[in-house]
Amino acid sequence: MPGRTLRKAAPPAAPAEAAAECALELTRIGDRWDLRQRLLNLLAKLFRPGTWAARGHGERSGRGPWLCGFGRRGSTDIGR
Amino acid sequence: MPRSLKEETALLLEDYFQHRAGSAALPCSPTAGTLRRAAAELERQERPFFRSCAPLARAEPREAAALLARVAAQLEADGGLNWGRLLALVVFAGTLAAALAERGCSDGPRCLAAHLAAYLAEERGEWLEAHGGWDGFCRFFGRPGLEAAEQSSTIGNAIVAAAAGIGMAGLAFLLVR
Repeated sequence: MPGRTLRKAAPPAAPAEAAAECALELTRIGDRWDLRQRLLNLLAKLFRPGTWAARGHGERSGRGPWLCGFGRRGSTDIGR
Repeated sequence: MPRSLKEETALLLEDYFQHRAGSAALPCSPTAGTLRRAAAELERQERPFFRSCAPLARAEPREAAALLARVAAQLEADGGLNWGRLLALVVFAGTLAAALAERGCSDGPRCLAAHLAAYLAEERGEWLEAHGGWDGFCRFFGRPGLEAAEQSSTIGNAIVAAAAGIGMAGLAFLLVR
């Protein structure tokens, strides 16, 4: 247009925009991943063999939880 | 002698960036192994986004480091930091580092690792220390899947033992009759 100076396209703004978009997406991804891992950790804690055995059996009877470690290496008296 | 948080962070990031660039070396520590595994899992799940980020790494490592600093500052501006965001930031930095390495800038990964380690240890050091440092990261991104598998194998063993007991009792009952 006559009388108007030509302005350059805005390359300096592009990295800033790209950074903002990346940060937004990374925030979403990070929060999703954080929540997912928290749930996994909670489930792992709930279903860990010792959790219920210790509460239900071991604490009531005053003995150690009998199922804990069953089948794990070193849990039998033959040393396996 | 215990390493400083900054040194430990720089080592972990360099290990991950080298692994990302295709190095076949074993992880330098169990923490490095956990970081590699958790980061690879996140990268796999979000591959389209991280692929689209690769062209952002220009040939100059300083530009990539400046972009990383801007992204890091904006990432925690809304709601602060958490382990998920930190992991996402590390994977993003790994994407930039791998892109720099592909373009022949062999110093890029080390440069980005140094910048990110300085940022995390100096500006986010309090948060990291309050959350247990890299040990806290390992506890958070431990292997619940593995524990669940161990637990199911425990239950499986118990069921087999119970079935064997019932079978023996049945056999004894038949023999006595």
